[in-house]
Order: sequence, then structure tokens, then C-alpha cells
Amino acid sequence: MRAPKYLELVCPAGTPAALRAAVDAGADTVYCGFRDATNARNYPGLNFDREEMRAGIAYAHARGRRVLVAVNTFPRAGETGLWHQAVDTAADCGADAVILADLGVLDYAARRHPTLRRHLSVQAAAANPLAIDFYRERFGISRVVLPRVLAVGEVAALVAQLKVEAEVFAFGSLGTMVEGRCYLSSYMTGRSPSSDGVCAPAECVAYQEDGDGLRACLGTAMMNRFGPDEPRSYPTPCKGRFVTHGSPSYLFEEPIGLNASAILPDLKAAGVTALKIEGRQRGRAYVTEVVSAFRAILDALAEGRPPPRAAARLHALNEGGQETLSAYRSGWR
Amino acid sequence: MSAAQPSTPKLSLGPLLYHWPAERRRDFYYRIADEADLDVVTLGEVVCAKREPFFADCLPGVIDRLQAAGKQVVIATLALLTTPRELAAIGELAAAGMTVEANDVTAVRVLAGQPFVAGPLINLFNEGSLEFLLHEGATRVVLPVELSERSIAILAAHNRDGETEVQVFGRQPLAISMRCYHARAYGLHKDSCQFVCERDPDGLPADQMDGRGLLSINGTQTLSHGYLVLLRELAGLRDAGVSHFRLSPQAGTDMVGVAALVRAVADGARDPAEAEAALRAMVGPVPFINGYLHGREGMAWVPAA
Amino acid sequence: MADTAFPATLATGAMRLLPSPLLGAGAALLLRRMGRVHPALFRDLAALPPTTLRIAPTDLPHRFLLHIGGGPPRLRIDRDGDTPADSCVKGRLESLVALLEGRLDSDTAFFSRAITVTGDTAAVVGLRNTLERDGLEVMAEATALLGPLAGPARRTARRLETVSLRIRAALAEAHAALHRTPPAAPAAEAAELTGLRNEVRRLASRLARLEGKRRHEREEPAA
Repeated sequence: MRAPKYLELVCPAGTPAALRAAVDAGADTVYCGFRDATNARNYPGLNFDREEMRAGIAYAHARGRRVLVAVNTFPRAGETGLWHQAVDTAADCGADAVILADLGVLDYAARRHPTLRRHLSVQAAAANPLAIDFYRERFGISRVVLPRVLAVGEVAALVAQLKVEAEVFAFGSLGTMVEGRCYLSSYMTGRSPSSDGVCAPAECVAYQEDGDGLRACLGTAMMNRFGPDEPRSYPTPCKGRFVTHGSPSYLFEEPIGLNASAILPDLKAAGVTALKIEGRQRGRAYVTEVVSAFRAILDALAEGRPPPRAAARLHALNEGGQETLSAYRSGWR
Repeated sequence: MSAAQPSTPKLSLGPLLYHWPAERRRDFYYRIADEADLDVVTLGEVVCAKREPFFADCLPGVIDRLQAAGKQVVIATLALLTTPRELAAIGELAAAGMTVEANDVTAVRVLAGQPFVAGPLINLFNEGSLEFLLHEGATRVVLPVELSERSIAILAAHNRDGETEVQVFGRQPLAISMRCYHARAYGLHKDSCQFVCERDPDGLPADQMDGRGLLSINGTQTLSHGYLVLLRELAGLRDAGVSHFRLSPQAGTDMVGVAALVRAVADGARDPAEAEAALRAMVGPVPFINGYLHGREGMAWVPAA
Repeated sequence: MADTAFPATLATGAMRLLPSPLLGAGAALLLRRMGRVHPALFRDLAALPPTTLRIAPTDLPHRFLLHIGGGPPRLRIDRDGDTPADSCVKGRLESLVALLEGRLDSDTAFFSRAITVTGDTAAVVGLRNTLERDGLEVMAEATALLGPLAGPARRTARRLETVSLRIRAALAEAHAALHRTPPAAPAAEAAELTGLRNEVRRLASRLARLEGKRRHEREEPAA
């Protein structure tokens, strides 16, 4: 395997073509999932079947890169077999690690595939040393993906106490609720992010022209109304506009995306091992743009050169064209 | 427990999720102790660590009064445990012999090996995670609100030796965040929130832009706008092996009255449809919801067939 | 510009000029070729739930109806312009083709309002994600239809695209200069436009002949 420079760049792939695009653009590691509810991006037309997974892993391995398979949802009662099978298939296809969240699935993977690396998904939302150590002791996890709720200083303080690697989000869409414990979408649609792997499923989304504006609905609930010149967003519940005290506002979070490209040295100094790019639901164009921008920054940092200004390229790719350092800066809460 | 005939389910009062002034909170629990027909009362702050000190002085008196009235007292942990102090407090409670309801996996680590209650904010969706938590020492599991009747039945059947609790009344907790939306809605930050959540003892309505109710904000927590009401469903849940029915306290409703009504339906002494109508009169204009139990979106109300 | 980059300005101009039946035949031909070159993609498309999408390029007079799911995809011109569809995707031809080729991120396109989706969002997301699974190059496929003429056609297209981009820039300049006066193409560019028009006509008739030939081929046993 190729040794990551500066920080390991972990990139999303929703399709085989996106996996190749990520590898070609300079990803150290690619993460992806199967075409079912076992992963948290279970959208129509997305993800990999067994043969595509095998071929994708072969493509990455031939170029010295790694592939992680996300089996990071929570099985419904009576349906755990599908999740066990996904872990087995990932192992069989030669995955470098599985990304897991459910206590039962972690238990299964640790017992059945002790030599297959286990990463703790952000869906488990483990944000303190005791919780992370608990997952390490019980299930032998080698890495934790940290929730997007910690300031850089908090990341540093946490990582110093960990006996496992830490991966943090560097770019992409942000949920504002604690991951893996948010039922807003199922409350409105009946399909669960936790167990069905879909937040705001497209079949429940409707955009309706409304006078000179556009109304965005999720199920029977109205998530937003955009004026003719307002930027739009997808009707994800935590990014909706709701009325409190008589006036509508983005109560939970503005429709903005995370971009930590300016603080990579801080994250490195905090002891972080890997940077995660969000966006398995986005296309090849997004993957190529974001991965190559981060590759250029990481290469420059590794060689002690000033990093190229990638801000403009990345900026347009974030939701609503707006971006933030989010929780990494203080005052977000 | 005999498998042939399920025993009479117990009634449990879940933790008060809102921030009430200490006196109001204390008086509420005194009345619960003295008047309510409940088997278990869960205390403790689930939502925000900053609220905890307000009630600390009243807590021992409330625990004594509830226990003296024959109620089992459980202390719930925060949904998000972050500081060493919060973790140490859980250890102390357990050492003092209190039963603790873990609402964060971190608490399970602190409590491991001792009997504890797995709270509804722990992701317990399937047999695998149930078995793991039972192995860690859970004696009762309070199931997450998202589960359907089918999932509940499978889990309760799998948990024959332990107890299984399901919420049957009150707003459903839908999400928790590190960020405080209550403060945000009042134009404040979490660190200087002025405890504005106290101004909304039954939550702050967050409505759709067309005016229809949708959500209710309670500090860092987001709840359903509608009240979960399961009355017609009680008999089925009992038959499936659910041992405890949980009521979540609401400010706008007489919880002593709700407890009496649920008890009467659970005992078969009162017709569910008639009790539902009586409950509507008690709670006022808040909509009823029961979608999750019927495999639908949580905000739905599935009427009687 | 690469040989196979999509010449958006040229294509928009050319498609404006083409009569509907010819454009429809060309589209059908193109789709069939793509089916042969990308069998896995077409299998995935066939596996989607059946749906009809209206494709409405905002800079063309034509409206297309795309049927996917339950069999090979079919694309036809909607002559009436109001045949019912399950969903509608609107945007400039350039954006739509970029989306099809995976060059433009659809979320970005949507958020920046470059495209609009109404109706059955799931069908559009399913189509988008499925198209993302493979690399399509519309220009390469379209010119490949011309067989041995593909190379010259690509070079012509590239030259024409450069010319038409220049015309567009000149028009924009003229428009800015004249403020509210309706813009008129300067004489030299107008002549080039006429030339362009003729070249496009020649390409169009070649396409028509090709369609005839293909029809004939289909009646022959497969090689």
C-alpha cells in the first residue's frame, strides 16, 4: 500500500465510476457500500453489488490504495442476517476494513472476522474517550470516525487519550444532530436513516412551484419555500426552515457545507490520522474536484510548500454554495 | 416470568425532559409520589448538563418521597455524556445503590457488570444489540421510539428473562444535538443561553411555513409536536411481552389523570376508544400520533380500524 | 478543447435548426449506440422502476420524453410539448449534457439553480445515480455514429464550436454596447452563421441517410 502523505485522504464512492475517479484523483482510501439498507447512503441507483465491489477493490489495490466498506446502519429486529452477510461479503471481496455502528454487528464482525479491521462509524457518535475505549475493548476497533461536533481543541484533547486512530470530516454536507440518533426523517417519511440508510428519501421529496417560488416538501411536511432568487437546498429535515415565534428561520442549520481545507495543519497537530470527504450520494464530478483539490493541498503541506488556494473550486461544490468550519471553530453551539 | 400468561404491565413515568423551575419540578414529583398510580418513576436530567445543578438540592427529598410511596426510582443519564465529572457522577449513583438508566453507550461502560436500565436513547434496534446489552448487565430495556409493533414483538420475545419498556404517552424524542436550538431560536448561544428553555415548559413549537405544527424544541433536543398516544395498542403490546408502559411528562396535561387512564385501559377496566376520547379532552388541541408503532411515519395518526 | 468535449453552443444552434422528426431519429440512433457500448449501464437503467421524464432544455424549442425502466430506455420528441410525464428536468442543454456525462455535479447544478427538478424526484435521482455508474461521452458517441467520418466530424465540430463561441461573445458585446437596442449579428459573423447553418444541414442529412442505413442493417441478421 502507498503510504499516505501528511494525512490519509479518505474519499467517497457511490458508484464504481466514482471509485475509479477518486483513486485517479489521488485518494489514499475510498469508502463505499453495498446496494441495500446496510449502509447509510441507500439511495436508488447508488452503491455496489458483490462483483462491482470486488472489481473496485482490485482497481484500488492495483494502485496501492485502500477500500473501506461501510456497513454502518442499524439492522431492524429480525433482519440482522443481511448485515452479517454484508460484513462477510466485504471480507470476502478483500476490503481493508469495515465501517460499523451497531453494537450487534460490531459484535458479529469481531467474532467472525477478527483479522478484518473494524472502524467505528460516525453513526455510533462516539465523542468521548471512554465511549471510544469501550468500543475498542469490546470489539477491537482500530479507528474511530469522530462526530462533527468537536472544536479543533477538543479533537486534540480527545485524540491524545485514544488508543485508536482518529478520522475526522474535512469536507461536505453536515448533519447538525448527533448522528445515528436522529429520527427526524423517519418521523416525516416512515423510512429510517438508522435502519433503512436513507435520510429524506427522494421518493418522499416533492418540489412544487408555488407562485413565483418553489415549495419543498418531505412526505406531508413542508420543509421550505424558496423565493425566486433564493438558493435552494434539498429538504433534509435538519436543513429545513421552520417557524418559531412567528418568523421562519433555518432553526437547526443554514444549508451550508463543511470545508476544513484551511485548517489541515491544525488537524494534523491535533493527532488526527485521516481526513474524510463526505458525499457518496454526489457524482464523479464532485469526487474528482474535491479529491484533487485536497490532494494538491496535502502534497504541498507534506513537502513544506505553501498550499494552493483551492477555496474557489471547493466553494461551489458545497450545498447552497456556502461553507463553514462548523464546529471546528468555537461558538458554533 | 411465565410464558403462558403475561403478567400485568407496570406503569412507568419517564424522566421530565423539559426545564422547569426547581420548585415546580419538586411539587410535580411530590404530587406524583402522593397521588399517581405508577410503579416506576425515572428522574434525572437527560437533555442538558447545564440544567442539572438547579434540581440537585431537591433530588434527595424527591427520591425519598417517591420511594416511601412504594415507587421504584431510577435515575436517567444525559443523552450525551462528555465530561469526566458527568461520568464520575454516574459511577457514584450506581455505587450508592441507585438504578441508573443509561442513555448513552458511555454510561454502559461506567455501569458494566452492574444491573442497569438501557434507556430509549441507546440504539437498540435488533436482537444482536439487545443480547450485547443484556450481557453487559441491562435488566430492563426501554426501546427507542422509532420501533414498529413487529420489531417490539421480536425484541420482547427475545428478552423473556428481562423487562421490556415502551413509551405509550407524550411527545417523542426525535433528535439530540451538541447545539442548543432553544438558545438559537431566542438569538442566543448555548454558552450564554440564559436558560431560555425554562420559558417553554412544554417545548417551543417549531411549525411548518404554512402554519401547521411539526416539531417541538427542548434545548438541544427535538421532540415531536404531537403526543404519542397508544391506548388501543396496549393489549397487543402486553401480549407481545412488553412489561412496562412509559408515560413521558407533559406540562399541559395532568399526568396523575393520564396515569389513571392508562392504568384503567391496561387493566381492561376501561374501553380504549372511550379512554382516547377522554384523553383528547384532557390534553387540548395537541394532535395525537402513533405512526411508528404501525410501521408508518412517526407523525402519522392511524385511527382505529 | 478535447476532440470529444461536448460543443454546447454548436449543438444548441444545430438542434434549433433541425426539424423534430430528424432530431428524434438522431436521438433514437444515439441511444441505441449507447446501449451497445454500455450494456451494463443499460441493464441498470432497465432495472429501475418504469417512469417517464420530460427533458426540457430551456434554450431549445424541443421537449423530450425519456422512458426508462422495465426495458431499454426510449427517447422521443414531445411534439405537443405537454404529454404527461412523471417528472420534469429543466435547464440549458449544456448543463443537461454535462449532467448526463457526469462532468457537472447534479447537486451543485440543483443548488445553483442551473437545473430544476419537479415531480417524481426519486425517479430523477435514480436516473442520475445510475448514469453516474458509467462514463458517457455524448459527443464521442454522437460522432462515432458517423463511422469513418467521426474524426473529421469532431474536428469540424470543434472548429464550429470555436466560431460559434466567438459569435456568442460578439453578440454579448454588441448587446452590451447597444443597451436595450435589439442586437444584430455583425456582417462577418452573420456570414459565418450562414456557413455554420449549411454545415449543420449537411451533417443532418448525413445523419438521416445513416438512420436509413441502420434501419436496413437491422433487417439483416446480426453479425
